[in-house]
Amino acid sequence: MTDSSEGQQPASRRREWMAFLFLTLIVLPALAVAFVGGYGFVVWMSHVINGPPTAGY
Amino acid sequence: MGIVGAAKGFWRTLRKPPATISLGVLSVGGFITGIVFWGGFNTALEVTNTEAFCISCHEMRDNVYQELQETVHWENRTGVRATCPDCHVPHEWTNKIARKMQASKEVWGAVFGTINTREKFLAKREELARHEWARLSANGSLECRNCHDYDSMDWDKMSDEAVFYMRPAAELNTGCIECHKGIAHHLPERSADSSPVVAALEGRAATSLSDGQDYFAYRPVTVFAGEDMAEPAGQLNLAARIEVLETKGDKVHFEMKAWRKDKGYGRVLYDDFGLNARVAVLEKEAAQNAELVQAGTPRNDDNTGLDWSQVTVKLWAAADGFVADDEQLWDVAAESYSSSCSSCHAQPDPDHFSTNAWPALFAGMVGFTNMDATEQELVLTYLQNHSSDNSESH
Repeated sequence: MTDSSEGQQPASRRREWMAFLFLTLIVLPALAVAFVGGYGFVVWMSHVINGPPTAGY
Repeated sequence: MGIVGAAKGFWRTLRKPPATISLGVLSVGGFITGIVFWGGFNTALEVTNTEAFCISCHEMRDNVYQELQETVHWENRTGVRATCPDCHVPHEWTNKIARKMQASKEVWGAVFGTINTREKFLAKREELARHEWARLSANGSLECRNCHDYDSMDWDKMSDEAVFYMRPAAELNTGCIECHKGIAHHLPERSADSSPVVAALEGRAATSLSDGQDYFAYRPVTVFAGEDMAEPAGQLNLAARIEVLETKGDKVHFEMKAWRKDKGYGRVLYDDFGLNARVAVLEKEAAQNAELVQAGTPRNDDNTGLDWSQVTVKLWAAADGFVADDEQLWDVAAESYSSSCSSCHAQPDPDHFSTNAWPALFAGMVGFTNMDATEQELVLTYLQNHSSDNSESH
């Protein structure tokens, strides 16, 4: 790969758009869901170990 | 170019400042997809928090959902109703997410058919119910109290009976589930075989019976007229006292002294004169058979005007239903009595009431507990045997 020139601009443009869409539409949503799910799983496991949560009653 | 190559190319593109997409497009694009994701996430959370979603599994639709429809939480004069997630999914965010993750177990169960028949559901109901009871006990019945509130109860609008039970509960701030188990779905049914009190007593059963010794039934024991044990002649109640005449293999021939009312066929046998504490119920033919049941001279009970006779009964039974010491029974009964009754109120001492008063009092309260039939019988027998009639202090 060489430095970008006038002729290679469309390929670079396409690559950047693909990366942008892949990141915002697939990778980051999947990470967010995995993060929240992982948090829920940890809380669940803490309930298994420490018993169900208590409330202010 | 394989996946590794694609990933490397992707990573190279990410590390460099964009050459062809403007910063404005990236920022606005990222912002908008963020909003769409957030909305989508919450929508998914909401959709999985609807009754329609819950009953899309036939395990829920055919069992618990049907039972709910018979209750006040389904249909009532105000037209406000509770849906599945109102009670069964925590409303607070962290615990809600944890519950959603927990539902992965339910997905697993749905895929592999853990509860795909009514029989499997009934077999598992008690375990499932206990999970929910433990959860609601720990959080003070939080999901009930998202709607119901002691402070908003108008005592004047309640029946006297409701106030009688609800007021002390409000003062103690008792969680709803402590008294109202089974309010939206059927309670687990337990057969006599699986009763926890019977299980607790099973380990204490007498392994062999000695002639001439007294023993006590620790579970309902079917009795027979003859050694062949062909025709059942009746049933011994829990704690019925027998004296062993002889044992043959796993059978026992025994004698029992009891009282009966000289009225009807005399099928019901009682522990003592004038006291309504049952020890056995006989079939009509057996009760009328003078070879099996020998009656003494009748004696009149002033309180009721009924004649009572002492009877001596000689019958056969399987030898495995007895304990040597009735204290074994009372230990288990006392523990059950105190744990079941004290969750709502301070339970009275057994000797606070008479043997004949206990059955009605007990029958009025036992519906608030989750005692199975055998446990109920054991606890009532315990109360009657330790009532004011059997105590020095009253």
